Amino acid sequence: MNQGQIRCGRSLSRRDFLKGALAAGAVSALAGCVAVPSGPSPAPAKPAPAKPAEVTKVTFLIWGGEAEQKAWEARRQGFLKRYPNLDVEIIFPPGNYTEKLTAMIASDTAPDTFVSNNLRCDSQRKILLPLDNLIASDPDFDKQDWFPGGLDGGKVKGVQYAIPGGLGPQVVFWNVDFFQEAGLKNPNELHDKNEWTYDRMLEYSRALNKKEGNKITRFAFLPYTQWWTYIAGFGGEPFNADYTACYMDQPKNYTPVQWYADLWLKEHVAPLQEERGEFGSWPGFRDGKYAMFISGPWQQARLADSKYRWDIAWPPLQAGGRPLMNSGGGGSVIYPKSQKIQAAFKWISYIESAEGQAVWAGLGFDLPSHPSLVTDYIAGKFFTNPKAIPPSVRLWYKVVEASVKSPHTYITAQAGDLLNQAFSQINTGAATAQKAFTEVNKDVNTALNAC
Amino acid sequence: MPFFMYARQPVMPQNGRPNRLRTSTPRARGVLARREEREFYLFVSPWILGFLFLTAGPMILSLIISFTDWDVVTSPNWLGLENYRRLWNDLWNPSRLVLFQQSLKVTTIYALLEVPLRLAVNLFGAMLLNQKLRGMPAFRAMLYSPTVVPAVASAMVWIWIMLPHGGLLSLILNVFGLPDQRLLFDPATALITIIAMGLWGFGTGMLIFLAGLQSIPQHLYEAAEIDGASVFARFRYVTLPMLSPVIFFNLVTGVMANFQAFDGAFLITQGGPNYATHFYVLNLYNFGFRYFKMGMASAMAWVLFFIILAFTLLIVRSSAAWVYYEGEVRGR
Amino acid sequence: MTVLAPHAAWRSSKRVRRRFHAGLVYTCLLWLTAFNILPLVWMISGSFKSNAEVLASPPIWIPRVWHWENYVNALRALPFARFFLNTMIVTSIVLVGTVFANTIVAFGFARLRARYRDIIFLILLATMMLPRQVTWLSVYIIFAKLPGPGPSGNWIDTYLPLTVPAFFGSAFLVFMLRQFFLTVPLELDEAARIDGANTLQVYWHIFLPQARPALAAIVILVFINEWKDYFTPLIYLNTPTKFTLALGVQYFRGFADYATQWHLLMAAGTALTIPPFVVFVFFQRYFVAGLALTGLKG
Repeated sequence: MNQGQIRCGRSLSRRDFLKGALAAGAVSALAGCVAVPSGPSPAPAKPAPAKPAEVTKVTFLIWGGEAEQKAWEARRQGFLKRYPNLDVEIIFPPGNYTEKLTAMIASDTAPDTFVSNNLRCDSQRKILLPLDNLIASDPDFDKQDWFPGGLDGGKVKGVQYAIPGGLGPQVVFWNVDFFQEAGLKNPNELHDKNEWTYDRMLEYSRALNKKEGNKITRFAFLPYTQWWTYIAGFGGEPFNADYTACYMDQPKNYTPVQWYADLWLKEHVAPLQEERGEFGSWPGFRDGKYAMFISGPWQQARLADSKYRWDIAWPPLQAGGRPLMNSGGGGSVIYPKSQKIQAAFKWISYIESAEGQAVWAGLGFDLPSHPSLVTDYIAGKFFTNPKAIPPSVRLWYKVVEASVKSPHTYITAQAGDLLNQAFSQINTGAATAQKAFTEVNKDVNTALNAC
Repeated sequence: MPFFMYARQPVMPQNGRPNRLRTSTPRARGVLARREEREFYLFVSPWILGFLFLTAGPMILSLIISFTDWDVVTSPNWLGLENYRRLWNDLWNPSRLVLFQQSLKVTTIYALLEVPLRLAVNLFGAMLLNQKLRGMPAFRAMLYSPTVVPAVASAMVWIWIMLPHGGLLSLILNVFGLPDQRLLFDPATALITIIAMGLWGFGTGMLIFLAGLQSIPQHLYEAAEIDGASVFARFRYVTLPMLSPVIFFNLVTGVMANFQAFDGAFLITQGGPNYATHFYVLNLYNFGFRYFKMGMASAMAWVLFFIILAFTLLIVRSSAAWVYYEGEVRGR
Repeated sequence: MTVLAPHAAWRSSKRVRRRFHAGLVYTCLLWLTAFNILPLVWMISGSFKSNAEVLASPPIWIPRVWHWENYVNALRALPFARFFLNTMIVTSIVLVGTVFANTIVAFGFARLRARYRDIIFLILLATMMLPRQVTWLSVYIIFAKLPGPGPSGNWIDTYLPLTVPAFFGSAFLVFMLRQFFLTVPLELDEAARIDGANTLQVYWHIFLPQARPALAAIVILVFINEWKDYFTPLIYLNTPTKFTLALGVQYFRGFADYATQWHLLMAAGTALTIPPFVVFVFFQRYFVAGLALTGLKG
């Protein structure tokens, strides 16, 4: 009846949707065929040298974006050279690392090696292979070339589960121009006389704030997340040795956090939470909106193109205080059901060996964790950008030797979340440190033991 | 004027046969009915197959897991109703270790406000974009653009808009002489801010409303206009009833989606400040993939399931009263 | 004259009302557009900045130097041509499967009667009520256990898990199409049946043309969804040459904020909005009032 009337006169029918979709697909297939040869391939440009017949290939799951991929490829090349009959396939999920790893493990397609962020809970879930026998029996593994306690960062209850990665000591990054302008001394000089305390830092900060009329145009200090730094600097001890008990409800542990928060809540030498958007985070220091902040080695590469002169200095230390350092608690691990354990061990020990870490250090992330590399590091040999080298670069390893480990990689995720939420309240002044930490302490203790 | 009046205007078909308005035509049981039933299953078979192979199993499995303490790797231990008991206890004695009551509160407030507001905003936008004015395609493309922008870039813009000092919103407030608001940084206002942020961006819902508006036969509007109906009357007596199937759709899917809201909290506030935006599915995600307590996460998922089911049944029940289907075929 | 005068007055007042009406609409649209294109403008603006400028605070909207090379660098940094091809393959297959499967199933729910139809429909709705976070892993395990052409002998690291489910319909789209199909009057069906059409012919010749705006909406929705979906390709694909565009853009994020190359991410992101826009503009012309007829108008 009306079929013809409905159909004719319409510009396209649903058949044409599909035709259009398929045509688009075909066209782009052709376009892709043309384009693909000219595009770069993800494999290295030069083919690897001809290999002997029997090559064992292990898989390695790691996160990282485009910049880290290049560094990993460089490490892989070093590995191929060192062990011609071994190879590694590096799988890079561009995000959601945990979900990817979980999916692979749950479906029996787990990678041979990967990186764990929380050895404690992962070892309980039995997805980590103990490495002690492998370390003992491997002649290539250098057991000596570690900082004291370096390899221990990969242990849980005395069993070695991971080869830990680089170190991240927290130091003060300070703007040399601003300090000189205000007539202030170099903090390292003060430190040598034991005078670079938090009280002195506060004094300095008051002099470094810059005002134009009523408005502050430059803050002395940029608050940068790692609040454990201040507890360590005041000599606090927030956890027991194996991180099964939390003592944040003790005054010696919560007072430093309040002191830190008072920098913006009371003294206003640092921006309030709502002002930070305006001044920015680390880019603000690079652009001269702050005079100092406390962070780790990864900032060096970022500050390379600052217009100001900057340097690093010891973090302020009260009597009995120590610097804080990110180290251990996670590392490269082997999946217990892997069929290529020997080869897997060669890979993970290579990437965190002196040779493997030398590659990474150039990208400007963590410090290498081997004493044999220190001389080259402080000579600036690893830095790809010479402007990223601070004048006091030799300071890094002095700080390493004096540091305590940051707890955040050794506690469970739930405990960490609880403590961070407590801190966020202190940050906005919604609660005092005493109140916030005393309230959560019991829950944190439960969470610490509920892996 | 009686409701549905214009939608029910009798229309003479071309061959002169009178039109039967009422939708259901009960047919006798028998060969025809059985054949129709077979045809039904044939037509619906792709979905049924997909359900049996890919959906039913995982759903049942997650129910079973909710009675265990599975950490995704080692063998699960049977816990019985323990997970559900902990959730129930948390309703009366809220604990930071469970956050069930808190996340349920946050999500329910969010959903109950967001669903009707979002519906209204989408309808409003679709009606605007349905006008026969010049430049409509360009406006439609621009209003739909937030959907094609990666979430990461959108998050950056939102954080900037909501900056208490110097953000776009504070600049606008200052123009009107209002003080800066702490918005996302204040537990009291953070949730409202997230709700407001959810209203922006015309996405799927608007598109579907637009398609729905296109499906309304023009002659109904013309008939109404000839009868002297005002713009509002035309809206009430032609647009709304004819659009009611689509409104029903957006309402039901809106409830489902908003109770499962996740992205805003995850990308922008991380559940803070002080758990003020700690959405239900964010809590579920933490338990499942960060604390490796998949059993608890599954239990939370099934509690949410029944909550959404309850709301959906309510809406479906009420739909008989306000949803009008021109081509409805009542089942037996 | 006197007969015409009131008509003329009515006509001119109608014109004024129409102008006012149009003015109101345009004003609303302009305001809404101003807010809604902010993310797009931000992204385009960021795509021309240097990485340092993107994070500058307060935000810079107009770059001082226009870095056109960001686009070249971004699209060269990773094999985007390959990713584009992959995405188009997956999306085309998904579109075909989606349009067929969902329209057939929705037709069944809308037009055919069966004893358990409404219960089955409720089950269909129920499948959308359980958060994906607790089911995706089980689905993954199913695909890992199915024998297939992937490198591990199963479906992992192939496009099968991304495309095959589309041929089984999706609850959301079935529900949506069912609602649209229910607005199509029965008279057309009955007339066609009287002329001897069987159910399949009614579906193909009568129904689908009527549902054109809904189908256009589906094409847009599914295309953009496939385009942006990054979780499913992320968990199922291991080989980088098989990755899709959504994954490619994520690569610029780096680990947290350490190495995120915002300027490249924004350049790639901007380039990637072009195909969805093209699809949208092409298909939205089906959203033109008046296309839908009852087919019975005299």
